[in-house]
Amino acid sequence: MSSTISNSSQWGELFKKEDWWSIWIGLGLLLSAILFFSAGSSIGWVAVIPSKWHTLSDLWDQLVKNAPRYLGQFILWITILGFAIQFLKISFKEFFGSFLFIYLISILVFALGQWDKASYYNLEPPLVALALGLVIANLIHLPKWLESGFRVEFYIKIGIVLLGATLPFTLIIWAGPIAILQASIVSLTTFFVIYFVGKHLGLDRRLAAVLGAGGAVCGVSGSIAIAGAVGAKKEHAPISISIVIFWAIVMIFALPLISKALGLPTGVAGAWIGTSEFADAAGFAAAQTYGAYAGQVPGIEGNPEAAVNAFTLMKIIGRDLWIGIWALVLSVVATTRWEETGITGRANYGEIWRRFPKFVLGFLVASLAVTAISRGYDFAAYKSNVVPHLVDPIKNLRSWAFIFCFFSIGLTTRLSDFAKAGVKPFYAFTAGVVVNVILGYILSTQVFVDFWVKLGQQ
Amino acid sequence: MTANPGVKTRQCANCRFFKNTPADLERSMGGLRVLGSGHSSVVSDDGMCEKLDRYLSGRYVCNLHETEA
Repeated sequence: MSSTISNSSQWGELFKKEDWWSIWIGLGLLLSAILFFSAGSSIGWVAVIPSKWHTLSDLWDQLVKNAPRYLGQFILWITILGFAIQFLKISFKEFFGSFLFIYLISILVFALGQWDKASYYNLEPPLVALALGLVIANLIHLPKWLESGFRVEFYIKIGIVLLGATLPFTLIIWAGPIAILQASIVSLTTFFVIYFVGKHLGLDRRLAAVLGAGGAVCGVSGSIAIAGAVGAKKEHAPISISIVIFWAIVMIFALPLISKALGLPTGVAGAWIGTSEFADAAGFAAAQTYGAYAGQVPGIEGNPEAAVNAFTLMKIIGRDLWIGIWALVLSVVATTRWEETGITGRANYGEIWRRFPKFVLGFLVASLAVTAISRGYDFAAYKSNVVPHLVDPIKNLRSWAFIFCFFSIGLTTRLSDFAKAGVKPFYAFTAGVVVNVILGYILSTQVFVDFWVKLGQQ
Repeated sequence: MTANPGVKTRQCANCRFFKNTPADLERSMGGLRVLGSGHSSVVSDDGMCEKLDRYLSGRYVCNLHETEA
């Protein structure tokens, strides 16, 4: 089945793409939080998270005590997500069971991360959720209907919009240009390394470009966007997707561990992860894991939020935003300079908007809104009133969205589903990984180090 | 793309060989759902051409076009 392109379909995108739904959901939650806050109340009751615990009986007591709040929160999530997925043509009946499964496991994963010895045993929720999901997906045969709720991208986009509410807009303005500069240096270098190594190994130019975009811009999304723009062979995107996922999962574990061994400040590690991770969801898992080390692992400086903030600036503002431009340029190059495929026509400037990751708009609006509200308070009032009654509940809901996402990454990573990538594409991509990781490390820890350290202290 | 309405009707998006529902894409690309999605904005109006065995923009045009019945 295909869809006709018309002006009405452009408007229809507002309800057919998960990017827009992540905006409606994220900003809807934020608006509700602001309304409650303005009325002298808070959405804190429903934004419950497990608190720190020492013994299992501590944990049991708090879970029993807060059971009505968790039930309320489940009803909130299933209502708003269930409404949205109807428009994405996903069965609500299947989604309900699947999301219930995700939510119950997420409570356990979140609670485990709140154990006072969790950091000692490296039981950070992102890593536990991912590892648990991987084990379940690859060792247990799950019924097909259960997969309806494993929507990695949907959850991460909602989380990113909510993240905007906790990231001051002034910080985006201050740090955005450096993030764009650093990300651009790494993106361009990585793309050309993968492209030319791939070409040297005899790969089709379109496959080399698809791999290059996967490594340089935004992983799986970069691969499929460029595959469509250049008219790649049907196997090109799946090959790139397989390699991207392999390296993205390796980096989820490797980058925080290496950063921890080197004792990098949270802001610096976040910037490095932002330049050298290959996918948003994977990068958030790595950055959130590292942020949790602050204050828990001796020698790691900076505030816990800085890792996620620096990652967000680098990955979302520095890399993801530009996917439409990459698609436009490569489409023009493919149709004018590469071998013919029987296809005519090429992209125009509208391509930049059509492929623009719209959820970023929600992220920016959320940041602007909370920054504007905060301006009416002095620092003491902000800390004692705005943070606990407005910012923290949003941060808690964001944490839930991220855990749903991390668990879903593991649950969808079934090794048997992946395309056989072949040795040459793997070598080409890996050459880019090596250059990317080294260059990202040098830029984050040497060239722009003062900047990222300062961000971690704010 | 050209604004010529004749060309617009011959765009791949209107061809019977072109498959681009999110479910089609997620089925045909193993691993797409792991760190991506068929519902994403970056997918734009891309889809799979079963005639050319290519993944391409629905705004492209080709000589093998056959309008959807």
